[in-house]
Amino acid sequence: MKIQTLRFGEIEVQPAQVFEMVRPLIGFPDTSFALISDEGTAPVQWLQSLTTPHLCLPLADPLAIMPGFDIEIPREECSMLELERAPTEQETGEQVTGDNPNHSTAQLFHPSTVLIRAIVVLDPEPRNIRVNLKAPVVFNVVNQKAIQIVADNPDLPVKYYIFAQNPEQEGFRLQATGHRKKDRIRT
Amino acid sequence: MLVLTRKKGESIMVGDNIEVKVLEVHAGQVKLGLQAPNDIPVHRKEVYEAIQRETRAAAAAPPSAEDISRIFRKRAEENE
Repeated sequence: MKIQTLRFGEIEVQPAQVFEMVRPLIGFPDTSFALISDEGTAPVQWLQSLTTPHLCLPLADPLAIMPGFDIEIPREECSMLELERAPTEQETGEQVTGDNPNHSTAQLFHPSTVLIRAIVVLDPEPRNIRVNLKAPVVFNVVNQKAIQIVADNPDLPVKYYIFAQNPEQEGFRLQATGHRKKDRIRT
Repeated sequence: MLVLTRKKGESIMVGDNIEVKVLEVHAGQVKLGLQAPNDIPVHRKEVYEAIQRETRAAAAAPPSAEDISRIFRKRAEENE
């Protein structure tokens, strides 16, 4: 289908690019979007509203920005996206710990099913370029449903400045030694 | 704004299926339990507002995003 956009003009969108937000993005009522990969702006991709020509959000792979990035996808959101998760270690015998035993981390899902993209603020001043690691968009590429989730993890900031020299100053702790399983959901 | 006084363990109902329960009151902090349908997201207000602000800022990406994306790519490659 052809859609009107402010950024790209009139473009042709393939059915496979279309995603339905099963719950609107925080603060934006639009529910139909196209995921656009533009060679000129790679690795930044775009989430273009099908109904609001000027609503187009830059996206990036959070793993490319923060090695070891992982996020828990709450059970409700899994079920809204119709994602089947693998059982956790806790469920296979160990005692469940923490406040949210119903959560699954992103890495439990197969990369051909789940795509996680963080919303990027592309500021002309490089020092201000940042990604929202706290509230990424999770895509089920099989059924083309998507949802924005909000991480409980206080280590994931709303503003992760990719050029910040002292990330600690931005009010979060970067776990550089965290588990590094990037290959599992690398796309 | 409707103002209600509740004790520990007491709840209020918002509509038919949203329950807000006072779990604990201690040293100026209130611990609340919320039960709401899955399609009613619940967020701390300051987090909600920060996310909304960031998404608005993201939507205002300048037209010449290609140059900025190039910077971004460089950074991503450094992390490889």
